[in-house]
Amino acid sequence: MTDRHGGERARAFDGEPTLFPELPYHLRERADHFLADAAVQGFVEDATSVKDRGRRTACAEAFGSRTDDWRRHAAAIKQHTLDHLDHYLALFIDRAESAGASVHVAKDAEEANRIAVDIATGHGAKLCVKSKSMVTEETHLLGAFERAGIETVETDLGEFIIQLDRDAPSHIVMPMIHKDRTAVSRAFERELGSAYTEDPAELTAIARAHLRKEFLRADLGVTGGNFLLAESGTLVICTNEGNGRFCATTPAHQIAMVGIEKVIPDLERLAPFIKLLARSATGQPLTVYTQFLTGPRREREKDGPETLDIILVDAGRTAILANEEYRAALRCIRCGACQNACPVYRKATGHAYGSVYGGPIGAVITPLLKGLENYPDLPGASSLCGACREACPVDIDLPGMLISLRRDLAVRRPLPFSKRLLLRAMRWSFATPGRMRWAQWGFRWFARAMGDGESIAHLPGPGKAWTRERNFPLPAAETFRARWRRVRKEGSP
Amino acid sequence: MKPAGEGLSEPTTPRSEFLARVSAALGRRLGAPVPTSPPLDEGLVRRVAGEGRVDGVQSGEGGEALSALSTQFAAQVVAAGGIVLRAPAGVLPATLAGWLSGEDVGCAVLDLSAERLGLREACERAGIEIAAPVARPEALERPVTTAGITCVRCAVAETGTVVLDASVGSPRGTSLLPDVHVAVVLESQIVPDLIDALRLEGDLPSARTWITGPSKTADIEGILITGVHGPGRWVVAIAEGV
Repeated sequence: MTDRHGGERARAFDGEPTLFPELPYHLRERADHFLADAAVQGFVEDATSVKDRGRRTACAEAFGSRTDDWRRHAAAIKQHTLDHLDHYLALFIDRAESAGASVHVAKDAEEANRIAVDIATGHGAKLCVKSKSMVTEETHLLGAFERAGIETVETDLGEFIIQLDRDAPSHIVMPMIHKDRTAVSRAFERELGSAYTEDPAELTAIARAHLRKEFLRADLGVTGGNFLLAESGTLVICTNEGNGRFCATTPAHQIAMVGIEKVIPDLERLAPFIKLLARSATGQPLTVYTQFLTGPRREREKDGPETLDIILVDAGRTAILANEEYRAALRCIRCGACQNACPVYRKATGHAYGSVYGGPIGAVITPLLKGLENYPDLPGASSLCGACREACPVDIDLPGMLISLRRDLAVRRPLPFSKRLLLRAMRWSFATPGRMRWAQWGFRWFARAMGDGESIAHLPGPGKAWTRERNFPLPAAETFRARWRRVRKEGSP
Repeated sequence: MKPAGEGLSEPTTPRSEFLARVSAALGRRLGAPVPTSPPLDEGLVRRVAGEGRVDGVQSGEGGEALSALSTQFAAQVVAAGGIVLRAPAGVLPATLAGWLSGEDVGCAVLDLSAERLGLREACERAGIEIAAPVARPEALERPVTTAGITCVRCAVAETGTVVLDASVGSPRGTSLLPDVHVAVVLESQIVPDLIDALRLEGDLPSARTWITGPSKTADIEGILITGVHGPGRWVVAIAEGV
């Protein structure tokens, strides 16, 4: 079946490895594949560069020299909310139910999906229209719905195309960043029977016509939520296409699945977030549609869902909350700015991270949500250049967290014997000047013997790990110590 | 699905266990006092200097400030990809109806407050069929170009945003299903900053929607296309002097 989340298919229609690899996941399994794919790197490089520039222009225009003050202000509000999340969650639940919504809590992905399936089957739902939501990607809700016999249609244009291709999103905001228009044309031709066209406007019109029918037929809408407002029990959804509005307008029932970290205190304190989110994501001042949903439709209203069920999902978040070193990672508002800014993301591309969240934020939260032992390579998938930190609208110290995760990994998992041996040898030989001299002499002799005069293409034993990807440089013709002696003697460098 | 009774204090419900786990993760006790959240930094967050008291029917005096606001608002609507029509309140219905028929709109649906402005009669005079407010959304699936005409709760100059509240007389679908959405804004409804729209008085409706532009996507190669699911054309009709 077309179950991209059930794990039955290792590859998408066009041969892309989809997300959700076997665990533990080793980056090398995929990095080689993606590093060899210049076309995908090109799409990703272009799209992320445009959005990165858009973010900087929009923030400079709106906030000028005070951009950092904005980031810190938003960060302070969100950090306060996280530090007292139990209080704000309880308040949200209370207020949302007063407004007529039903609120459910799910400690993990399985429970979240089970609750959603129970609600859907309870309503006798046959067709579900779904708008973009990262947490439903985390829980693999689509697969759970299809296994329960509920036909489910992704309605965000990018997600729709990805569903047709049995692929998986590779960017938080631009899910099909790794595909070009020809892939869309082929998918529509194959799955919808439409005539081949490479005109994006025509392609969009084909999708509009197809999905409009689904919106009018559907009896269930599933959405995510960008923010939850505790004081009023309100669900805030920010979208551009309008599919999120349809999911909360035409079907008789709505389910919103949202991570517990999305709560903020009240409507007024949404201001810095709402002004930062779209600027950071796409460079727009605001998304086209910002919906504030407070309970289901009210008496005598002509549209909107008769029932609104909100599922609050933990799935590893309380573990992050419990660790003060990483708690701030939950401030993330999923704007994708760190992905757009990251040189590693641009080259490796989203699927290389083997999880819903790629890029710097993914390298931090995937190991925290899914277990460091399952994603041991991700904290290393960064050059620590700091571009992500500069881009983050809620001032998360992503590079600092990546370093902390590397430390956690080293503490938890002893290094392999060969590395330990190497480090021990280094410690021994660096301990006295005499040993250092002998070690240098020995290494230079070894390197010259291995090299071809310029570099070493193949190292033996554990050194293979280095030379598989790049040549090892030869030592300089003269050691620093020899040069130092010479300069002291001759008086010139 | 809901735990029976008052879930928050019962120690055995899934919900209270869930909240207790969050409290434990924070090293807190649920119900322990919470300091007030950092207040909004007004000086930082408010972009546009000026008075903008927000009750939807604000002062008409200070006509100059009002017109500066509406000029800024109109410019931002255009920047967001919208079309601006401006006319004195008395002639706005005729202006709008004329524009719609010029755009080959054959059928329009109006929310109650738009009808009260006399827009229904103006559309009928221009030969535009008026559909009943969308009880069933199929009603709007016509072979002609359709328009949904709504009034707004307020409009924001900073971003060119219109704020729509769903109600009995104003269904959600009116601004979503048609090919064209027309938002009628009284000049006095324009506020300077998004913060003013966040501070509107009164309880929230079941659905409040901020609209800033026509439905958009850039999912295919980053190329901007309008009219994906929602209206491809977004018109803001500003009634001047009211």
